[in-house]
Amino acid sequence: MARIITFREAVNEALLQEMERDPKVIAMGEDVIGGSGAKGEMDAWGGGHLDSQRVYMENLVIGLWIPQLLSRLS
Amino acid sequence: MDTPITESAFIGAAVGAAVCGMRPVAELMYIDFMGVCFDQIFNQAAKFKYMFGGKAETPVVIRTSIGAGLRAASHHSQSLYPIFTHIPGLKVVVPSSPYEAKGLLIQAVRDNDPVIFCEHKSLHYIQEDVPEGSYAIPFGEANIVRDGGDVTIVAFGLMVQKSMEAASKLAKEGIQCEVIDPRTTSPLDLETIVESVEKTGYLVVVDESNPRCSMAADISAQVTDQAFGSLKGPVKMVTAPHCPPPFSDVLEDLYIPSPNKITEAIRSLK
Repeated sequence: MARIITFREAVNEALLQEMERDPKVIAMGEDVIGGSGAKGEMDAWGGGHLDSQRVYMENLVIGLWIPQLLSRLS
Repeated sequence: MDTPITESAFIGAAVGAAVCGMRPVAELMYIDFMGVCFDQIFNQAAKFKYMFGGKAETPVVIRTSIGAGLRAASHHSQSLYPIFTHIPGLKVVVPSSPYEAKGLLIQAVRDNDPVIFCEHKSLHYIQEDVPEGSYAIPFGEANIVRDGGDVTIVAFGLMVQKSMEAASKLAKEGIQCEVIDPRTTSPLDLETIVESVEKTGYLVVVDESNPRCSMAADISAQVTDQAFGSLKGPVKMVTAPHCPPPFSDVLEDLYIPSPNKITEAIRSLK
């Protein structure tokens, strides 16, 4: 069923649906809490889901290390 | 996940996470600041698959905003998608409406290559019927937004809306425009554009980028190469001028391609 929504809402809905479908999908927003995001953007992305993704921070940091990347690929 | 204003760090982190098996969607507020993390995008994300013999995949999406019109001056108003289109290994999306944005973002998340997703600021609050369920719009398949037999208009993002306004105006004068939204600049559905030009004989490309090395210049060159025999007149480019987006509201209004500029370009052909 279709309903009228804004471009911004459509983008947030797409993100939420993809995060629900696949737990590997994570959303990162620049300075959202600092005031640059749309009101309620973090809530729209699902706070609990995002909190649960924080465990993957380790993965992110590791990702910054190119030698580690190369060793994974070998 | 909230990130600080450190583009090089969080885009680097997103790219690294993508190679390690995650599917990050990182939002970098303004495309103007992509320059801070060009190395992470151009030399790392775009090249991992090629340089590691196809063994690495980088399913990262970088959402960003483009476009003038918000009186936000030169650092927050550019339409830099042609720069990313130039780099092999990146996919570049420029959605033109809420329906398109949802379907194309879902496709971007599912794609295994790095995707630059360019949202025009002036489109953020426009409204449209959008299905509640999930749906993906494939990359590299242009949308013919309006059928017409007299002239082909190719436009990106907000420029699709402006071109539709121009097309309605010209229809009252008996000129039927075919409006094509390629949806993605890379991959580009050149076939649909060429087929349309073979039918109409005229091409106008509407692109909010600066004119040099723009999508307008790129499509003009490719169509001239592939369909020169079908062209009945010069290919017209309606773009921003070759200057930074102005802060002055009067000048900014002149900077952005308008329906009037599009109709003028088309009338000059007939």
